[in-house]
Amino acid sequence: MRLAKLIFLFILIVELVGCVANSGTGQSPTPAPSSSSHQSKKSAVASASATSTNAYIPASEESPAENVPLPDLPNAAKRNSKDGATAFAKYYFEVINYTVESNDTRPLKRLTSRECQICGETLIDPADRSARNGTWRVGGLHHANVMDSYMSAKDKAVVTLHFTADGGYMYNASREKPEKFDAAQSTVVSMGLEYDKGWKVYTALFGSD
Amino acid sequence: MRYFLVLTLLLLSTAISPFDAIAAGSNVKPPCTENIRFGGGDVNHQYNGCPDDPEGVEPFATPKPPPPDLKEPRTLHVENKKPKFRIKELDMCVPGREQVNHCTSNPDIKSCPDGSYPVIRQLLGTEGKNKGRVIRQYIYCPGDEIDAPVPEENLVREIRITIDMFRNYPIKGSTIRSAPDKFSLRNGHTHFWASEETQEFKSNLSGSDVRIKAIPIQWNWNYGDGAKRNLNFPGEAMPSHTLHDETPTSHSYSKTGKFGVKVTTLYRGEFSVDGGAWQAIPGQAAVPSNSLPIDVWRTEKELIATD
Repeated sequence: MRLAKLIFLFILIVELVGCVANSGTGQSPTPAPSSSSHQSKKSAVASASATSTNAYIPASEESPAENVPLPDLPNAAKRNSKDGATAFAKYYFEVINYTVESNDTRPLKRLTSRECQICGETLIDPADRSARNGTWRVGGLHHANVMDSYMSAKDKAVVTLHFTADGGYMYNASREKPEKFDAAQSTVVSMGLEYDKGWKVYTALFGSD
Repeated sequence: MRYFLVLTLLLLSTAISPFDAIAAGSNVKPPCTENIRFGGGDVNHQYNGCPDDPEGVEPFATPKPPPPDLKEPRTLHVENKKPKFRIKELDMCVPGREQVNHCTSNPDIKSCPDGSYPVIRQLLGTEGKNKGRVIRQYIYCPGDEIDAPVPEENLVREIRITIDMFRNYPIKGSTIRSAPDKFSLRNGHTHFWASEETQEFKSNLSGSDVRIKAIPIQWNWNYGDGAKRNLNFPGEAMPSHTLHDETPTSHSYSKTGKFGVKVTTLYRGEFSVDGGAWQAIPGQAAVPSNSLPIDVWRTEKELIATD
């Protein structure tokens, strides 16, 4: 009898410890409770943003950024000149950051020629997929400095910049484990720009490329 | 007996949870996450375990048209004899102007093994659709081989002084002096200074008179004891200097011994064709100096006392 009591007590303790450990890490392998908790969080965020109208909320581990402000194209960046191209290249990096935060590719598509394969492959298509698949990231913003800029034809310019990008974490809607990504070392990029009523990127060459 | 039962239970209960985790782990697909980074770069999680694009969804990226053949012989273009490419070179960084050029933003831009900064070479098209378009880019250090050189006949004929041509002119390195002359005491401030001399050369290139100027802009000191530093001024003679005076170009040895002091001077270049305007040569020529031997002694009070 005493033995049975002891075994019961032991099982109780083991179970209790197990429960606490599970809830502590929050990594229950069963999908049902986690997805329901995500939905409740999502609706909580939705109701919160409904009350505070259009306020910018940065991305967090809970949810993607909301109401990311789209930077305005400065007037200087509209001119077909060396300075115009320089201002445009700086603006392009601001729009990259807007896309990194929002997954909205429409502004970037307006500034990018489809000829720029690397722009599609590394910026626009990943962002479109992210929007479809419900993935987002915290961090990953780009920081660029212009090194050189010149007109290479009447309607063309080459702007050379070097940039770094922050590290961060990637999240997804199914609330699986976030993935860490590293910061980018200083990278030199030369952007080929073409002017037709406005500048567009037709190529981007990275390092020795 | 009692202990045995408790022990088996303990073993069983610890065994169950890891098994659970392994079983769950094997069923979980890699998470669908994706990063957005211009150029892709060193991102290791670009696209991970996400579903395929749905039917009818067109990616923005289209396959790149094949690049123009850089080495295609010009004879194939008889109807259009214009060379197809031109070269534009620019400085990655200019010594002394690192702040202005944002070269010191974290992380710093790496310099070449000889202490100069790399040169960015861009190849631009000159005809048809490619006119004014940047096609290739190479970042190289003096002495590096460029992996896809373009034959001269495919390039616009223009007088261009590359960093490797510039380095081949007999540019003299700085001469180093020290006070006290070639001698110092441990922990004293030995004053060093280097000469600063702009040098000019004349050449004849493709029938044009070309003048080349080499202007010193940076002095990279190596004191021989492991200490190094880069300065954008050479220092100057200071007749009243004593070992107690620290100067902008002095160095203090913490050990006795014989050391060889060297300075590598970085020269920027300019060239002028047939008396025309001076144009900058991207890159710097790193020229080593002579080695100045320096003998560092120690002072001991007891020596003075016994004397």
